[in-house]
Parts: sequence; structure tokens; C-alpha cells
Amino acid sequence: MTKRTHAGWAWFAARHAVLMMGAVMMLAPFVWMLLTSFKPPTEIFSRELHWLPQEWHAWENYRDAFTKVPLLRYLANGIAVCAAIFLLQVAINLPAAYAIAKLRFPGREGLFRLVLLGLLIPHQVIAIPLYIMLHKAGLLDSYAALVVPFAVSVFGIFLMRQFFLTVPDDLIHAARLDGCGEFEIVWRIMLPTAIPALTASGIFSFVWHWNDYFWPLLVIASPELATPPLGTVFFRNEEAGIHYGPLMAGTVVITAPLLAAFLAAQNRFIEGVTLSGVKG
Amino acid sequence: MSQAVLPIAQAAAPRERRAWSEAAAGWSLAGPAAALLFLLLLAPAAGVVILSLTDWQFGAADFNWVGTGNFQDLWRDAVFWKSFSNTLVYIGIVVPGSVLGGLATALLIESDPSLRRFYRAAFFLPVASTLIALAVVWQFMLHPTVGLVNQVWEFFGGTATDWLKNPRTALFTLCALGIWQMTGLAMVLFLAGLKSVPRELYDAAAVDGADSAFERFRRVTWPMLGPTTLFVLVITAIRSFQVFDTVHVLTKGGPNKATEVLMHTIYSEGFGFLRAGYACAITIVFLAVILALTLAQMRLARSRVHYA
Amino acid sequence: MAAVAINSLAKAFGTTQVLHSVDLEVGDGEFVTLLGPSGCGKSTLLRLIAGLEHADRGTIAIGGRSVEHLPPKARDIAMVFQSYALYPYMTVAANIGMPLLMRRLTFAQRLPMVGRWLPGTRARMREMHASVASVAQSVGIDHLLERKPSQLSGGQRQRVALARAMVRDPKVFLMDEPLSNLDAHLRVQMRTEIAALHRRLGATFIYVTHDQHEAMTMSDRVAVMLGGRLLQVAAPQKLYDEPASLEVARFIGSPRINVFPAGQGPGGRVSAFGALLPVTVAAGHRGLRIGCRAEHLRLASAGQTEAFEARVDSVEQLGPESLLHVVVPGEHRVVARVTNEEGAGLARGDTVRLIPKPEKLLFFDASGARVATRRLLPVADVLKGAA
Repeated sequence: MTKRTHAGWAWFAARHAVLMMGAVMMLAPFVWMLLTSFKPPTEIFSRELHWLPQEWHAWENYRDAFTKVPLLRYLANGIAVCAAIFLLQVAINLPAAYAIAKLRFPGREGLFRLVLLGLLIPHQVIAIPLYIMLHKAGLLDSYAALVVPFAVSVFGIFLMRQFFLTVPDDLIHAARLDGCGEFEIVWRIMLPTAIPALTASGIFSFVWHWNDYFWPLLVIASPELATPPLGTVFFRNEEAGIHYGPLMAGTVVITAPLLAAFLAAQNRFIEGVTLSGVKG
Repeated sequence: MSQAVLPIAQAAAPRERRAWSEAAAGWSLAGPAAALLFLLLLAPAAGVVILSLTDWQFGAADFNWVGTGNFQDLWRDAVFWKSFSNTLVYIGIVVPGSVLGGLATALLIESDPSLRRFYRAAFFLPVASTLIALAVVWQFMLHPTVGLVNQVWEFFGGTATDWLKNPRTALFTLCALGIWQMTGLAMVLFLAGLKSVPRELYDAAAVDGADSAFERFRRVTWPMLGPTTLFVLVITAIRSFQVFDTVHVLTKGGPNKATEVLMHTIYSEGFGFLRAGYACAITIVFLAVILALTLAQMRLARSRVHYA
Repeated sequence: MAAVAINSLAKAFGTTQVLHSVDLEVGDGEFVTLLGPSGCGKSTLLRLIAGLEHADRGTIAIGGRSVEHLPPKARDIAMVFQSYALYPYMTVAANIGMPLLMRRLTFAQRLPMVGRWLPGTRARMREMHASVASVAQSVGIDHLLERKPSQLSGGQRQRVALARAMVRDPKVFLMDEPLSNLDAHLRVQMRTEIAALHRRLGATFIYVTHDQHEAMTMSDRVAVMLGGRLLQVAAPQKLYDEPASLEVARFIGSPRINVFPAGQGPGGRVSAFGALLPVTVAAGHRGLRIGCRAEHLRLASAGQTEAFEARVDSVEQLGPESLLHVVVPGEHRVVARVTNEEGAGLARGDTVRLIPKPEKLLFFDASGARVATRRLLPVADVLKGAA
């Protein structure tokens, strides 16, 4: 219980005033998006500023959104692609990170230097040759094109390796004494131990690939394969600036899953997405 | 003598076998990752370098080696320079904007326990959301007649503008969007940095006589945030340099290349005009700048080691 | 140099009452230690004296002047923190000089580029450098002035923290477990140095620790704290010999004081473990308990009747002497100090007879408070000369 002086109360109020203004600006698009999705076209296009919908048009807007474009398909694609990427990454990154951290083998240092080098290279740089490779393999415009290039993630390997360095060697020695082979050590012992780090890197991976626009834009042409960002743009292009109600309804649907996940697990989310922001 | 040698030789064999099996395990565990790294990272990276030295076009049957020809063309390309300078302007506005905004927000949030979670969530929401979807919303909000921004702008006495189509405002509008999206990230990184400042330092400063908000910031907070600030600056700079989504979705580089940025130019050249070789040359420039930023940060961070 | 007077100080954090109405008087130039286990409130009390926290109730006076409403910098105190709290990005000289910088230069004079051009700044800064240099020399770190804290050893950092506290010549020195981060050898060395520093400066020192060795060797008086209350304030030896309560008796002394139940016979005469002791206490105490330090128990000779029987559990050889661990009927464990020769002759399971020194026995009632004793000297024992 702190005693507040006059100066204390003035400061308290000023802090909230400033932060609240900032929060309003940050949240404005979300709120406006939601409100617009409830409004009829007359209110959207009127010259007067209407905050709240006077006429409730939500059902029509959302129905239109779902019927004009396969919104649910986009979401499902997002989930499928991100889940596939994550599972692939666990299968490939985890053993490699463990090996680099805990095992001695020739080429280990070189491999780790390769990982570090990869961290320096942003993903857009290698886009063109990757595109050519996929084209030659006939994999363009397929789920494979969305998933395979991300099967190995240098950031994931780096993160997991840093984590494995903190795992005591004795744990592994005990496992070997108990008769575990290397594969068993990785999947039976290291995987459960690594769950906190996996969660953070999983959220990072999921959010990053969910929000990725650049790569699907390059490799996907069919709307059925679109991930949420690409689907949103398809929708926007179809609407051609007329049916804002349904368009906003569509963006609400697209944005909702990540928002819900964020609000449900703020701390974990911030941890994971900060990593993605750091990665760039 | 042979008596003494034998036991050692016998001891060596199991050790060698262990080393061999460990190596084998290492290769098999790391093998897939290593192979994929070569295939999906190294090979394409080499490919970019090689392609930048050719004039290959997508779908062409053959190509010529032009050596540094692409780079010379780049040097003379007005669009490239406009794009590069636009990107620099973008960085020059978004980085200070989001770093200062993030720092101020983090300091304000930390200064009092009330409503912290709410503010942190509110400011971080733009970072966590799907940027494309929000960009579409912003496009609607920036609509010249029915957009919220103009309606509020007019309420305060301004004249309605087509923010994204007016060459004088388009880039700055995108910058505003960039700041909107990145402030939360800077804030979260600064919050982590602030938490890592030991409480006892503030106590010691209070006993030493530095107990006003200004002195506390100057003598303790700001110096201790040094590494974090450097980190945030570089991260926001790199991320700003990679700006693409908002440009492609909202302006396509227009009006009249007013919002053309480097990444968008690479995209247009490579996948619009199909000039893969040329696009790769621009990519090399792009990579060079990012490498420079990253290496600068690493160098600066190392020279400022001052932790006990 | 000033006395510190604390009256009815109370402090709660949320719903936890950390300090319950503490009263303490520290004399001018005295070295008082606040001793207690972690969580007893000693650090909180120190921080209240420093002004880093505000008490809910009560008063604090330094040098006769009431200070509860003053910020730390106005109380003329200096503090050494457990982690030293040195500014990592400043040199040792800048660290030591910080208190002077904040006090001797005005805000304008402290401004980064322009401050030094204002009149008087240069002269003041020269004075400050001189003060810093002389203090650094007095603690033996004048050769380290240009280093940063990360380049110093633990002991050196500690001295920098001390120098920073000394440079302003404050009335009161507050120290919050400053030795706990040092290794054992260094700790012993710094103990004597801090004690010597106190003698040299003659300032009032208030020292916080959980280590009774530090408290006993360095202090003029020790204030034992438990659960936010001051149990007893006394000179170290008095605390050891005359603890005011069972809690204090248990906290001070190693090995821990033996505590066992006692009975009262006719006339108030006390018995323990079947032995009738030549001591009486005021009648009518239920749940009477005896406290007896290990060095006050002897192996009884054949003729002594006030001894009680016990079974040997183990003998610990310490080097200069041994500790005899025994078990008494009722599964009470008792420790006695014996000579190495005595200990060597005993094996586990042996039966021994122990006799306490009656004049050293401490008596406590059921609530743990000390009970007065009146010693009875049977004539027969006086004749035997076994008093």
C-alpha cells in the first residue's frame, strides 16, 4: 500500500492518459474491423462517423464472407501447413541440435558454423533459387512447396542447441548406463526435457509461418491451397473495394485464431513471437 | 615391457569403439539436417550468387554470363536507386519511431503496476497478428472518403486525403503502419531489458543521492539498457529493411515508385519481369546491407562488455 | 557519528506482517548486528532505517533528528549491499565518487558537456578526486581506480562498496550481509577488516547477517530477530550466557544448546532424566525445560549422584576436542563436549553418565521464556568440593 502524494496522483493519471492513448491507437484497427463487420453498407459508406452499428448486419456480412471465399479452407490450410512444418522441424532439428550440443563427431564444428551462417541469411535471399528448384521438381502450387523448404530451420537448431547445452551431461550418462541407444535418448529423454524450449520455438515457428505472405505468394496460385494471409488478399482482390462489410468479416475470421491464442497464453506467446521478431 | 603395453592397448580399443559409435550416432542424428541445410540453404545461396552473374530469365532456355554486368546496370538504374533511398527513408522513420515508442511505453508500463498486462497485450497485439489481414483493414481505414482515418482527420480540421495514393503521403503512411506494427516488439524487448536491471542498483543510487526519475534513468536505467538498445535498434532496422507485405498489398510500389522498396523491387524484377539474374543481383545488395547491420551489432556488442 | 533510535516500527507487505512493533536504540559509535534467519525481517528493518522502504507505523531518529519523512540521501547514511550494487559501466573511481557527484555538484554542474565549464565545477571536481583517492588508499584499492567492476575479484568489489560508503563520511553505516558472497577464507579476513574499520572511523555501524559467528565476533551488541520481532538485544557473551528465551538460546551457539524436559520435585527442586539436580526454581511452572550447552555437560565420576544415564550414539572428532552424541531414555538426543581421550574410549551402545554444571543451567517455561533459578548447594557437595 503506497501512500500517494498530490504529485503521485498527477503522475498516476498522466501515465494512464499517455498509455491509454497509445493503446487506443494500437487497438483501433482491431476494434474498427470488428465493428465494421457488423454494419450494413449504408452505414459503412455514409459520410457521418458511426461508431457502433445502428443496424445489425452481422449475419449477412459473415455469411457473405464464408460463401464468397473458402475462409475455413484458408484457416485449415494454415493449420495444416504450420503443423506439418512444426512436426518436420521437430523431427529434423531436435536430433541435430542434440548431436551438436552433446555428441562428438567430426564435422560438428563445421556444421554449427553452417547453422550460424544460416542465421545471418534472411529467408527472402534464397527465394529465387528455391523457387527454381521447386519448379524443376514439379512441386510448385502444392502443399509440399509450402512445407518442404522450411523442413530445416537454422533458428530452431540454434535455439535447441543452446537449450541442450544447459541439460546436464549426467542425465545422458545415466541413460546410457541404463542401456539406451542414441535414438532412444533423443526421443525418450531429450524430447520431454526440451518441452519448454520446444514450446517457445513451436509458437515462434507456428506464428511465423501462419503470417508468412511472401513465400505462399511466390509458390501458390490456386486459391484452395492458400494460407490465411494469401487468402485474405484473394478475398480483398475479389471484393474490389465495394463490400467492406464482408471483407472485414473475413479479416475478423482470419485474425481471430491468433488473437485467441495470444490472449489465452500471453506470456508464452510473447516469448515465442519475440523470437520470431528477432529472427526477422 | 610388453606386459605393460598390453593393458593400455586393451584399454584403448573400447575407447576407440566408443568414439566411433558416438561419431556414427552424431552423423545419423544430424545427417538429415545437414543434408537439408546443404540442399535448402547453401545450394540456393550459391545459386543466388551464380545467377547474379548471368542474364537468365525465368523460362528461358539458355543464358549468358555477364559477370558484373547486372551490377553495372544496377548502378545506372534509377528505379533501383529510388527503391533503395525509399527503403532508407522507411528505416530512418520507422526505426527511431518504434524504438523510442517502445522505450517510452516500456518505461511507462514498468513505472507502476496498474493495468500492466492490459497495456502490454494492447501494444503487442499488432506484432502478434497477421499483418496482411490488418493491412487490409488499414486500407479500408485509410479510404479517401469512408475511411476512419479521414473521418477523424476531418473532425480535427484536416482535409481528407487519399493517403496511399498521394505520392507525398504514401511512403509516410506506410512508415506509420510500420511504426504501428513494430512498437510492440521494441516494447517487449525493452521490458525484458528493464527487468534485468538489478533492483539493488536503484537502491544504491538512491542512497548515493540519485533518486529523481531523471537521475535514475540517466545513471542506472539508460546505461544498463545499452546492450538491449543496440539489439532493438538492429532488429528493427533489419526488419524494416525487409518490408514487403504492406507495400505489395497496399501500394504495389506506387504511386509512381513513391513507395517502391528494395524487397518489392526484387520481387517485381524476379517474378514480375522474370529477370531472375537481375533480381539476384539486387538480392546480393540486399544481403550485403543486412550482413553489415548484423556484423556491426556483433562487433559493437562485444566491445561494450561491462557486466560483473 | 550519531545514535539511531527506533520506536514501535511496524511494516507489512500486502497481508504479511514483516515487522511487529520493533524498538531499538543504537548508541553513537556502536556496532550493532541484526541477527536472525532469513525472513525474520532484519533486512527490512535495515532498509527502513536507510529510507528505501516506508514504515507503516513508528518513528526513526538519527542523531536525534526524526527521519521517517526524509529520502535516503538526506539521512546521512551509507549502505553496503549484499551484492555490492556497483555500477557495472563505471570505473572504480566513478563508483566511489558517485555520492560526492550527486551531492557536491548542482544539477547544472552535472550536465554532460556543459557542466564542467560552469564556475566552480573544476575546483569541486578536484576536491572530489582527492577524496576518492584518499578513501581508496585507506581500503587498499588505489591501484584499481581505473578498472571496471567486472575486472575485480569479489574481495576487491567489496572494498569498492566500502569505499563508496566511506567517501561521504556518513553518520551511520548500514551493511546488508556484505560478506555472504565471499568464500570462507575471505570472509574471515574481511570480518577483522570491517571491525578494524569500525574502530578507526568510530562511526555507528548497523550490520545485518544470518551468520552468528560474524555477529558474535564483530559486534558491541547483537539484536536477535525472529518472525519480525526483536527477541533480545545484548552484548554477544551475554546473549550466549543469559539468553532471554528458548528461541535465542537455540539460535546462538554451535552445537545447538541441549534442551530437555524437566520435572519439579518437592521444594521446587529440579529433576531431569531421573537425576535430582542441586537447583531449585520458583514453584508452579508447567512444562519446565532445561537448556544446557554441550560444554557444560561432563562425564560423571562414580560418586556423583546428580548425573543421568544415557546411551552413546556416536563420537565426532573435531580436532581440538570431540562431541559426544548420546540418547537418553525417551529418545532425547543430547550433545556433550568431551576431551579426545574420553571420546576415544567410548563405543556406540555404551552407557555413560552425564552431569551438568548446575550454575550454568538455563530454565525455560512452556512458552519459552526464561525462568529465574535459585541454586541449592547441598552441604555434602560443598564438603566434597564438587560445586
